Amino acid sequence: MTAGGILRILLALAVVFVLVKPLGAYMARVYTGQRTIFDPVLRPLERFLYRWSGVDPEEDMSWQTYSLALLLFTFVGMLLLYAFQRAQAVLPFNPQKMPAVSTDLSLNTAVSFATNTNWQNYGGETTLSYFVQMAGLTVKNFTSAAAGFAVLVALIRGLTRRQAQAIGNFWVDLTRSALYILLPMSIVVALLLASQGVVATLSPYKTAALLEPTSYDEPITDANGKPVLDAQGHQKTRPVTITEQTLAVGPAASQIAIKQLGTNGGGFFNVNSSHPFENPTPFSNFVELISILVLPAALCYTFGRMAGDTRQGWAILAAMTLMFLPLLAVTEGFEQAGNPLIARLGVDQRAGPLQSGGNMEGKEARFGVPDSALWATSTTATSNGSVNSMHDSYTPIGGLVPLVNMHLGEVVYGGVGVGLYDMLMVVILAAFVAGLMVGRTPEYLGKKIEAFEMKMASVVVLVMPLIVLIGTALAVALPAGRAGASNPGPHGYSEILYAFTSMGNNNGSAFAGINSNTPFYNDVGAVVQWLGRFWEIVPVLAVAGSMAAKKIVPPGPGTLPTHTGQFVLWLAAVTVIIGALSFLPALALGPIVEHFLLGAGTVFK
Amino acid sequence: MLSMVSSSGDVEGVVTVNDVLVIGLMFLLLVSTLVWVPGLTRLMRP
Repeated sequence: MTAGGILRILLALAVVFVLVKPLGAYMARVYTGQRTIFDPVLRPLERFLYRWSGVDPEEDMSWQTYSLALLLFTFVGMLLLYAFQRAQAVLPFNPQKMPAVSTDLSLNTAVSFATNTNWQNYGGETTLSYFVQMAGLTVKNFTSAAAGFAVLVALIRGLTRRQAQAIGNFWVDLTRSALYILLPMSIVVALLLASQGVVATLSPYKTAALLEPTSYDEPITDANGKPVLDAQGHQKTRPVTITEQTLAVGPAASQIAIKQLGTNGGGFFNVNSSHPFENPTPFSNFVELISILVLPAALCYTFGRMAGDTRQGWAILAAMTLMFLPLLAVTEGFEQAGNPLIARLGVDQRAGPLQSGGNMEGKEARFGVPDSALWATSTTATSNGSVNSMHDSYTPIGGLVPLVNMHLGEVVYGGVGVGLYDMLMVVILAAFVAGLMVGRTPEYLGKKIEAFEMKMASVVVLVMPLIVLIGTALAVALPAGRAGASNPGPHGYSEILYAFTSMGNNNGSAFAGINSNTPFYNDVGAVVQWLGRFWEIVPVLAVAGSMAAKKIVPPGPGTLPTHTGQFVLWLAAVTVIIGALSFLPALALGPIVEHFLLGAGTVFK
Repeated sequence: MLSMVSSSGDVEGVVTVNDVLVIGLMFLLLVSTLVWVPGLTRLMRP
């Protein structure tokens, strides 16, 4: 790797860590109702929203009421997004005259954006009108991210309140997350991106003349879209010469800003942040990368502040970073080393003044290996899912890391709110197991960890592997599932495993190479995404309610300290062990075996 | 985050049987989640 590449990675991480404390402290002020610099503008708007919607901001909700409010809010939003897609042909802001989206694809997209997954079985510029992108997807980007924040804040209250019956008000947490955190930051990031050339317009697509005509053979299909074959069984083609191309544009900048800050990840265009109108320059790439990482990392400090002991937040952030850095090094190392089969041909893949070197298949020349690998690691460590390179084209081990990041439960920084509340479930497990091992009282932040919390934390940790592995097994077993993979052998299996891993973790990134816009993947994927989100959130809120009702015991000689370096190591170890026990066999069948076969020169055609 | 194929609509401006089935599935997902933890804790009771 070049020195420039290493410097860019270090600079990006340094900026994120410098922002953790001020941003984390600001968010703690937002959630504890303290005054912020935006109060003069936003407080009246917030009060108006409560009055208009009939919300009593003073109401304190039990965990059951909080869950019900969250579920009903999400359900109604999901129905609305579904209706927008089905009716988009008659709705405004549709200059390209996009027809209604099919039922199965509308279902998948509605669930995907309601659950903060943003798995996209559609191409934005070929399927959706500006209205659906703005009023449907962008709105869900805000609300689903704000819901993630809300669940985390409710859990923090549960861990820190003394003998309380309530964990806060969902409507207030949702509103304050969107108004005071996501909205101001999105405006700043959208303006920065627009300054770099990210498009922001409501005008129709543009037509541009090509510098020289281009000819190619176009496959011929029948009225049903099936290939027309010749006598030898080959697909018939016809020569085509084109002299102009259509440039898709649209109101992208505002959607890109929230897609990164809210760890949503759904691109305005099909190829996401590889598209030059979505991520045009190295600086826009830098801004988007920081936007992916900064809020999940800063929430650790927010947690520490709200818990009254910032060391607890720093300890969790340290454990996350302890897992993130080696995984990043593995991706960077394998991608920069390049493809061993190409090396055997005597091709020089080393980085130098005249070439980026490494495995550049599926990567943008303006980003190169370092920024692509850093993005791939970050987008899967968090629950973001946007891509600036095609993960399907990574080396087997380079592609293994994004899978592992998700298999760890996306707790390495994780999605906004989601990553930390999932990590806090692992903390509860780790504290309980460590307490049993060394004869200490299993407690966290002065609250005893008992059977109910352990059961719920176990459910949270086990739901994801269960739905990912069942979904993958179904797809591998059924012809409809196997038909989606475009590669034979272990790589095709990795494509399927990645798809269900991404949907089950509400990540949304695609390995690519898989055609998942089919009724099978749309319908099964919708179920997997919903269960991956809400079958975890409800037990998390149950833990919040249960912990809130307990009294806080002052630390004594029998207390296991949870802010020390020893606990940080233990927490990272427990996270890795849970992930490895759940997914190592599945990974062995995909990227691991592909790595060894590639080394031996075996390829599948 | 991407797919190789875009999708166009089957029927425009008309509520189809598939629409009803899809909304039914969404409702089922909601109900399953509402009973998730109470059902689970009941099952786990010794």
